[in-house]
Amino acid sequence: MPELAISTTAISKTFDGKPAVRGVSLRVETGSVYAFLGPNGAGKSTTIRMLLGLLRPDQGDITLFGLDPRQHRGEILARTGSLVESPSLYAHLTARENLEIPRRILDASRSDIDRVLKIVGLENARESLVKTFSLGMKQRLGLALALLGNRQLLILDEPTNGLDPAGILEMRSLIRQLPTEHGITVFLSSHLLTEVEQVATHVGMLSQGEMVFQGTVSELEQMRRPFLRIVVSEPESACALLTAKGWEVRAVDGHLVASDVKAVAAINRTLVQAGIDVHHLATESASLEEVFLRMTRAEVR
Amino acid sequence: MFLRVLSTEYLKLKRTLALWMILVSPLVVVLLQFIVSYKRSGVFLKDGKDIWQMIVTQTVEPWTILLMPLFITLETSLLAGLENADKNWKSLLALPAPRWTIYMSKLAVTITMLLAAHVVLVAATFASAVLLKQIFPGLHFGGMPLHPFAVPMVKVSVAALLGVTIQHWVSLRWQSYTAAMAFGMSVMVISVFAVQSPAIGPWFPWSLPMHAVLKGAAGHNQITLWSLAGATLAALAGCWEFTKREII
Repeated sequence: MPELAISTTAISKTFDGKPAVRGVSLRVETGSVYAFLGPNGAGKSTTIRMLLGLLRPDQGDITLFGLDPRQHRGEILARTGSLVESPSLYAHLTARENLEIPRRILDASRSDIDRVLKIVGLENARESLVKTFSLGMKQRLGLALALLGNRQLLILDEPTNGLDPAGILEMRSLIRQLPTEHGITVFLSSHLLTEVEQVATHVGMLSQGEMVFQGTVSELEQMRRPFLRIVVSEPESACALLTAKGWEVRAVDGHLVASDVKAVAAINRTLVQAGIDVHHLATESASLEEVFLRMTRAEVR
Repeated sequence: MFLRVLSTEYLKLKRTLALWMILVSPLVVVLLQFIVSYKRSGVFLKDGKDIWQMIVTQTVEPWTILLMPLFITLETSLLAGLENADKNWKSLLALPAPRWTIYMSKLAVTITMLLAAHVVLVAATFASAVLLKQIFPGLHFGGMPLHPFAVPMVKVSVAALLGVTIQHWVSLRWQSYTAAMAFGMSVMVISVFAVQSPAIGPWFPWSLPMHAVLKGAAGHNQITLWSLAGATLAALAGCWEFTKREII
C-alpha cells in the first residue's frame, strides 16, 4: 500500500441546500503530483478549503499524512503549504516581510526566506514592495510562501490563474521540480487538462461535486477510445446513410466521427457504393481533452 | 505561539495608515486645545488663574467624546482591512497557528494602539503647555501636575475596553470596511444620547468612557468593573465565534 499524503472518505459539503461536493474520496500518494481537475464550479476549491480546515465537511473524513485534522491541525498545517486561488499578500510590505510572517509562525530559520526566494527566482526582489509586483511575481511569491518551512505537501488551487504563457511555463517547471528536487507532494487543482497533463503523475476528475475519475495519467491515457474520422463530399447525406445502416456516427466540424473502428472497410464500401466521395478515412484516438470533456460533460477552454 | 503571532501583527502595521493614526489623531485634539488655550490665555493672564486644569479638560473631553470613538472605529477597520483586502484570511488561517492566537493578538494590537495614542496625547499636551508657557511667561500652570491628567486617561482607557472589544469583533466578522465603519459611527452617535440616560448610560458600552470623565456621571468603580467584565466576555465570545468560522 502506498503511503498517502491526503486521504478523504466520501466527504460532502452543502451550501444553502445546494450540494457543492458529494462523496469525494481522494487518494493522493506521497511524492506524486496529483492534478485535481474539473470545470469551474465543480467543487475543487470547496474540497481544497476542506483539506486546509477552512471549511468543515458535512459528512466524511479527512486525513493528511495519516493524521486527523481535528486532533492534529497544527502539525498538519506545519507540513502543508497552500496557495488558494490568488496569492494572499500584504501589498504594503516587501517580499521578505511577507515571508517573515509565516516564517515566524512556522518558527523557520531566517535563511529559509532566501532559500524559497531562490527557488521561485525572486531573490533580487527581496526588498521590493509587493504592490510593485506583476501578477506573475505575486504568484511566484505566493508559491514561496507555501514552500517556507519544512513543507511536505503543497496544495495549489489554480496556481496559473491570470498568468501569461511565459508565467505558466515557469510555474509548470517549478511544480515539476518540487517532488524530485525537494521531496514535496503536490496537489494541484485546475480546470485545464492541457495545463496539468505535462506535470501530473495522478489525476482526479470532479464533475458537479462528484469524482468521475481517479487514477494515474497512464490509466487516463488508456481511456482514450479510438474512433474513425471520415471526411466526405456530402457529410449530411453520408451521416444519414451510415446511421440508417446501424453505425453510431456524428458530424463534427464538417467531418464525421464513427465509433466502430472495426467497420472501416464496410463504411468505406457503403459510402463509395452510394456515390459519396471519401477524401479521408482513418482510425484516430480521442485526445485527453476529449476524454475530460466526455467525463465532466462540461465546457472547458 | 501567541507571542510569535503577535509579533507578525506588529510587522503588518509597517507603512500603514493605522500606524500613522496613533500620532495624527491625538495631535489633532492637542492642536485644537492649543488654539483654544492660546485664544483664552489673555483671560487667564488677567485673572492669574491656573490654566493647567483647563488644558487638561480641553484635551480629555474632546478626545473621549469625539476623536477616540472615531479612532477605535478606524483602527479596527484598518486592521481587519489588512486581511480582508486580498482575502488573506484563507492563507493566514491555513498556517499552523491556533485561531485564538490570531484573534487575540489582533485585539491586543488594537488595545496597544489605543494606549499608545493616549501616551502621545499626554506627551503632546505637556509639550503644548510648555510652548504656551514660552509664549506667555506670565501664565500660571501650577507646576503642571500629572495626576489630574493621568487619572482620567487611565479611567478612559479601561472604560473604552468593552467598546474596543465589540468593535474588534464586528470588524473581523464582516469583510466589509463600510459595515464596520457604519457600525462604529452609529454607536458613537447613540452613545452621545445614551450617556444622558441614568438607566442606559452606565451600561451602554460606548458611553462608558464619557462617564469616566464627565462630572456627575455614574460611579467610576461600577464602570470600570462592567467594562473589564464585559470586555472579557466579549473577547471570549468573539474568539469562540472566530475559531468556529468557515472561510468560504
